[in-house]
Amino acid sequence: MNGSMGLLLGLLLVSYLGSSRSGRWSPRFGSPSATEYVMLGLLLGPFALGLIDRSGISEFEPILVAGASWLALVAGVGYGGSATRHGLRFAVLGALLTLIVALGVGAAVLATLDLLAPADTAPGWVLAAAVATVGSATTHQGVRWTVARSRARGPLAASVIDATRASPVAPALVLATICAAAPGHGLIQTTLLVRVSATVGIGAALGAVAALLLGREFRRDESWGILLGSALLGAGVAARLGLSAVAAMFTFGIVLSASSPHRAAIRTLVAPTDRAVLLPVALLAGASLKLAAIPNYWVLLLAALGSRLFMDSFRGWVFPWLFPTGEQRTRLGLGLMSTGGFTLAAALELDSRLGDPMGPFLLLLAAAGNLVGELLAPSALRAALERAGELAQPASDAPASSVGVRSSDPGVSA
Amino acid sequence: MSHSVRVDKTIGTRLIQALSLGVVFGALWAAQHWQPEADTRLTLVAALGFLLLAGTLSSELLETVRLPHLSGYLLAGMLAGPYIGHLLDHATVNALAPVNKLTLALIALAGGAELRVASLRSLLRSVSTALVLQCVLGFFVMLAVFMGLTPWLQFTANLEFGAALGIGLLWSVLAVSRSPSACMAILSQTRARGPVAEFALAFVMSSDVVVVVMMATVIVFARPLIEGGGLRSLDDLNVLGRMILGSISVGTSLGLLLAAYLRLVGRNLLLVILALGFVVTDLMHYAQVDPTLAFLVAGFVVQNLTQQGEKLLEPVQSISSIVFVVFFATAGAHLDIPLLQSMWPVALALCASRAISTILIARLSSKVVRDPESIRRWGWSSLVSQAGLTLGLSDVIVRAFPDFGSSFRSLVIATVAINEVVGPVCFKYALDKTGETLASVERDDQAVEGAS
Repeated sequence: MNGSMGLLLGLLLVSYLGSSRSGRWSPRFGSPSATEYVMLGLLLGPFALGLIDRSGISEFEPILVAGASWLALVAGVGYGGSATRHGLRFAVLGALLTLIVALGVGAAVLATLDLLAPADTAPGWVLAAAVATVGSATTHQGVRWTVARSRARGPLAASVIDATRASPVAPALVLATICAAAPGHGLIQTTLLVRVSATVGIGAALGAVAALLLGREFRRDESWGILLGSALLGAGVAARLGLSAVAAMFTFGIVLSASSPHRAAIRTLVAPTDRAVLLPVALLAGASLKLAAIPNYWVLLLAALGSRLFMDSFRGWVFPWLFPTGEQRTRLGLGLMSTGGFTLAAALELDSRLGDPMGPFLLLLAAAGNLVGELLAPSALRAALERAGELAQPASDAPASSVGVRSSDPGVSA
Repeated sequence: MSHSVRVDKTIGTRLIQALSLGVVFGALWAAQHWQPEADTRLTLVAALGFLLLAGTLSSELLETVRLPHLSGYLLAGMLAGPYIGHLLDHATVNALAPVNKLTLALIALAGGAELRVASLRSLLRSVSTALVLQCVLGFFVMLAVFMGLTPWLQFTANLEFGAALGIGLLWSVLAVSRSPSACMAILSQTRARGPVAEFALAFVMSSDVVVVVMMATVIVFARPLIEGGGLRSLDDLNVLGRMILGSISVGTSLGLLLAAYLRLVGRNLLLVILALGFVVTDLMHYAQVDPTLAFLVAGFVVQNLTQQGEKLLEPVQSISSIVFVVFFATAGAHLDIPLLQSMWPVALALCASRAISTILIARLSSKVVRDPESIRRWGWSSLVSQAGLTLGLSDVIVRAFPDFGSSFRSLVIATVAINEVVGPVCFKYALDKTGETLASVERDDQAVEGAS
């Protein structure tokens, strides 16, 4: 058995673990951002043990593109998850709040770059925008995970879930812009605006096609063919043109979810695939990390993480004013700092588009952000929910379905 | 087979499908137009998505003229492939080869699991007689036809009789090979049940094993005719014997393991099947075990020695519905149309004579064993298709006889192209005619009524 087969077997095994955990045990084991698998990948990859080599990773690049795009699609499909106008308003406000965090992080990176002025960087704004992309979105799944684990129920729990639903919108747009501005794309003679519009257009057109083809009757077997086919085609066309496959697929997911009458069935169909795809992608992302290629960026990494901490504290502080849930205004602290699948997908795409040293730096930042978020966010969110009096009684008293997760949120309610 | 429910499609649905097909072709054309030079690793994702979606949509549209889905998959691949539309290049199409591995494993696994001892027992006389007559009589008829055509074949025109006979022997083995993939794809689409469907399944799966044995045997005897000298060694037969026994024992163990998994865990079967298709197939090649035979035996064991057969068939058929699209669309993209244009008279003569001999031998066989009317009339219909198995066997010949192998393979590709297009249409037509597809529709209607 050659190395590729070994790696494939490993990825299937990891995916198996991921899909096993998307069932009834999901809220109890593992981390939502799959940070431990990034670490495992780093350990097995060329940087440490060398069990996964560069050629193996390169051979699996199509799987990385497809996997990262699928994660974005799942995030996009989740965007339309709120059935109520109130939930939709919260989602839009949450997206705006993420944009503010992104602007803050980007500004901090620009300021740091001015101080450091590293010689081998691309234009500062590209790096700042890229850092903002991987350092601003909150993982909706991570938040649902924490809420479900804490068996919380109440208006604050529902608000944080709604507010994080559309969190990747602003980062996805920035990602589309960065990829459209990066060299090596097929639409060289067009303007940046046209290229960004093309990214969104590819996702929107194929999302609409998929919604039309799913038609009035939802048949599970046929639906898989249509969903997979249109998603892979969209991601592949965007990637081939040098545009952002991740942003295109996020748009695909939004349009599909918004325009199909089967949005709930689609979410139920794709949500369990999230972990099964995320874990192998995280493993490959960890193995892809080229730490040796980023010797001068450690200060920038600290600055990016520091600014993220600051901006997230601000987000947690301002949250109760933007999302009032009653008389009591409970601050969230760093409760919305979890990052996850979308961030990892965006970092992987930026890694392949921007190359050394910026790409590996962004991948490292995403992994570090995931880790920090994993360490701080769940406890902060749990503390906030406790302060709001929304934590359920000891687990034995509460049935699993009483968590503050809506029944429309697939993957967690199980 | 599949448990989906039939839904009548309106003109509006068909228009949407046609429009969507236009968008899908347009998207790939745009990518190809604006970025003609691209890394295969990037084009692969788009190609996979395109073949899946365009194949599905083409098959839906061809359904209106009662053509099998498989024809739609082939057509989509052909139109976009490197010989006609140039939307997919050779490197990309070749990079999709791993899908073949998965498909062949699925086909063998499903084929084995569909073979039930009870129905095999009732068909034993029919199938064994047909198998013997098709493989022996068909072999010699096709040998005679090939020998008659040798003056018109570039690579045999100047050969001595002995060498031409050797090549003819090899050709004749290929001529009696069938297509398990086409058979399974049609049965999977139509969910047909009845004597013709059961006969086709049992015959094609058994012939798969017989033809592999025949090929190894014939190579041993054809080599001295082609290369001169006497019979060198029977080692190849020894290796073949060990390979067959090894495949049966590995298949039995795998079947029992699968049954245990299905009984004890029974979840994530998609990933288990993917691992079987990609990883276990490679391990079998490494251990010199024939994966097709091993998976066939594994499926058979799960179905007939345990109670987990239906549990296995359901996910296999779900995955098959996706994998078949890519497999046949890729096969369509591989169809070498310019080659067919240059060789069509000879290829057509060979295909026509093969089809006629298959029909006549099937009639003879049915007469001998007094088959039911439907098998007597339509039993031949599943035996026309040729696809991956035949091409795989031709690769074996290319490796064994590199001197003429490439020209020989071109002829094989040209004839397979014709049989691959015509065969499934014949089989689907026969199933429609005998009412075996109608039976599945009635089952669906009953299911809908029951549910409502």
